[in-house]
Amino acid sequence: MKYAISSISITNYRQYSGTQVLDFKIDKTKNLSLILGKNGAGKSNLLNAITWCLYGIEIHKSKDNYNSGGMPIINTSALKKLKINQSITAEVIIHLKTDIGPWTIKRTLEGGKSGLGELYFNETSELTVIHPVYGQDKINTGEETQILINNLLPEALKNFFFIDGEQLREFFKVSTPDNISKAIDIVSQLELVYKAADHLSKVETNLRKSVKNTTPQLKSVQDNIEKIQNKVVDLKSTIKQVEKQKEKDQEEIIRVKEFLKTHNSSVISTLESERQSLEIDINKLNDQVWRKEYQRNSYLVEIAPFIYLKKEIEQTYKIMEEKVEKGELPPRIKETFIKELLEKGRCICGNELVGEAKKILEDYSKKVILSELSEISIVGKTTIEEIFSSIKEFPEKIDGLNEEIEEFKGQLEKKELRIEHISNEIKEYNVAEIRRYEERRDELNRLIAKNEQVLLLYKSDLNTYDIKLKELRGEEERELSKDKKNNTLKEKLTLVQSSLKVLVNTEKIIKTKIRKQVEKSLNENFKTLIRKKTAFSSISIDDKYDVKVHHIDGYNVINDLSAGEYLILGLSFMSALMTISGFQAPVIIDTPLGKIDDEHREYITTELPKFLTGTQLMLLVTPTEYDKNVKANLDRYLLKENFYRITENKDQTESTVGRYDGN
Amino acid sequence: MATNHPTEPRDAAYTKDHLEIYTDKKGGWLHKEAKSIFAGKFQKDLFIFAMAVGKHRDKKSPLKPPKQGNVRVDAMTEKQKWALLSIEISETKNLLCLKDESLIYTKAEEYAHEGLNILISRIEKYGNNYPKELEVELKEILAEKT
Amino acid sequence: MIEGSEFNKLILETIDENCDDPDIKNLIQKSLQYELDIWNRQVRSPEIEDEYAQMVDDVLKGRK
Repeated sequence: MKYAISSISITNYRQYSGTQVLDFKIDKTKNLSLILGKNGAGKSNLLNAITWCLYGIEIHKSKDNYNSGGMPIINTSALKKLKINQSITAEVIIHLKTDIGPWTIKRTLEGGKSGLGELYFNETSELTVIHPVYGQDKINTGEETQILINNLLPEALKNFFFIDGEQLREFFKVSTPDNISKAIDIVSQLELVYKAADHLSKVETNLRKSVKNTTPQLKSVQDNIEKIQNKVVDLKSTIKQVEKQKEKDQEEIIRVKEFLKTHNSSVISTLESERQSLEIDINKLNDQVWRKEYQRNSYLVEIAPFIYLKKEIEQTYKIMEEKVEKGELPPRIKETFIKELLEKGRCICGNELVGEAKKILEDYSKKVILSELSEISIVGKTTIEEIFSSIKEFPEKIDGLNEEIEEFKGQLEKKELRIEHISNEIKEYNVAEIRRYEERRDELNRLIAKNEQVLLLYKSDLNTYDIKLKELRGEEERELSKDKKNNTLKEKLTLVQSSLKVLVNTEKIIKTKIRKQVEKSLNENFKTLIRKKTAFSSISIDDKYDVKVHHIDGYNVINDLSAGEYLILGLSFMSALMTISGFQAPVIIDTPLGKIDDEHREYITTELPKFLTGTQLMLLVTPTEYDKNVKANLDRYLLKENFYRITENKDQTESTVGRYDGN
Repeated sequence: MATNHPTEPRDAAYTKDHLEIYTDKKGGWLHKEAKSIFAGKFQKDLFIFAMAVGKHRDKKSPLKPPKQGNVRVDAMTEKQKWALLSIEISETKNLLCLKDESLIYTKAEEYAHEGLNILISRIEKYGNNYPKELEVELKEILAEKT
Repeated sequence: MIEGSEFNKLILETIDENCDDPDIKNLIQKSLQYELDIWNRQVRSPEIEDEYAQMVDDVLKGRK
């Protein structure tokens, strides 16, 4: 179902006191709506209002809203004006235009001033949805109402349609393969498959328990299966914990790096910047070393057999030369004919072929064979000559390759040494806080490396358990077959186990299909948005969900992009996920162009509305973002009714939003 | 050219014991991400290499059944084929053996069989240093006076 | 493009491609349909387990 927002009404929500209404005219080609507002004026809270209405969640994390002890959702000015025993409601209403009729979604949160003059707020908000069912409007309230919203756009997918520009810019800077994998998981909606597998597993366990233990072997096998299954469950839970810890540590390290990079002390920030740049160089160099070593090894594998067999090849060549020098004549008589004669034992002249005559004919037969082989030999001779020349160039070629490797390794060493120096310098800096951060950085690196090793071990253990379980299940089947009474249960068990296998395989295949589709769309989208044929050749998402942006020289430059390129990468990815999810919801982006250079702003503002043609696109921009060029580019997709501006009052405590004529 | 070797067999075989090593899968020698010197190479490359090692050490042994016949001969390069054929030609001191190449390949399988065993030990011994060791060995062979 | 609520199509297609046994396909389809039916609903575990046990029985009965 396709839908667009036809109006938003906000009452007493955050800094919006009273009721503010935004109406949007829906047009297929002019699909853009713009809301202009300074930072802090209430732009992000407009986005929050939308997600709060739909899901009861505010996605833009600002320092004010983040802590529960922060500003309440209900507008503070309105709260202040309350009399005793008076109540107030914060409310957001969204009207949707869909292809089956209009929808209305309303969320309210009540609060008030008690008899004792204290302010109170309800813990939970109320959701009401009015939507057309068989031509009539149905009103839904209560628990099941949220399900209706999930049919419009599942909560798990909201971040792909309602986008915080800053988070989008950072997405590929800070994203771990885990995040990418999760995002693709969510979009694949494999939840159904996971749940089915989970429940079938429980059925398997129950079936097993209900088998009458007719033989002691059967009981022992089943006990073993249960034991190992429990171990697997424990191990999986441990793995999850370790992965979570690793993720936390990775996020913390990014924060620590950022802290050092943006520190007041220019000494520290310069050193950290240098270090981060060196880290990028080191990655590149490691890549280069790996490639050269791969090249060298490949060459060794190719040339070694010829050198090992040098003696044999030289002897072969000598033999060939001799035969060729002796001058083989083309056969006047075919070999098959001679063979026949020898078999018959009689010559065509009628004499018996014995003694000398036989020997001469046999010798001649050999010569004839050799003639027929002479063609092959000539090719062989030429080939062997090529082998000789390959062998000849071996010492120089291998030394050349090794030199290149050493050169890269030398550079690597230098840079690693410099990083060590930087670390020591920072550790000796005369500000305690900085020393602490540096120590923490070191510690985190160690922890992450250790956890990576630990995870490898655990995963290998899982593998071992898997193999053992397979064996045991085989044994179990054999034992079950021994007693006819267990036949039905055996059938059931087999059915359930086979189904589980299929589900597990299906999961992997579907995830791979979707990953490849996302990769394809990501590449197409990126090429469209980045427009200019730059130095990027392609983007890949490998089977570990590692995203790489390939430079035409072959290096992975994902850590090396500009703010504009990160944004475009983020937009391309989100768009790929949007398309694959199949949900046709409006797209709202908060502060899409902040910190982006002019060139990329140009691309984004000319390509994005086209890119999302047919989709309602709402951009919440600051006056800084909305410069002359951006205005010129966006104007052709904008209806004047869909241009709004947020203005703050003098104290910057309240905001209002109204249509903007551009002045 | 199909006419170059009309009597060559379709496949060269190895023993089932070596199946894991010849299989291109994660964790195997041939996988493109493997740390081994054979990363990204093909079965035929491994076969020819093993065969050369076996002949160089003069060690061969018949294949224990069951055989796996997976190494495609038509995938081998002309140079690789002639390295293989040169083994028999130099042993018989004659080109006559080229009449029926399938027999030559059988002998090559036997050298490859032992050669791979030797290779496994060497790689286990030297690990990541194997390429360096190989290089040194090859240079020594070239320095020998024939 | 895949319809949001019909995402099962991709899942069912993939299962079809990777499984020949009609009983297994049947059980999986029933399971997925059931999961969709109880989606976002709080159903007690024993009830779910009973339902699944019934599904297994049905599939095997249908086979005979």
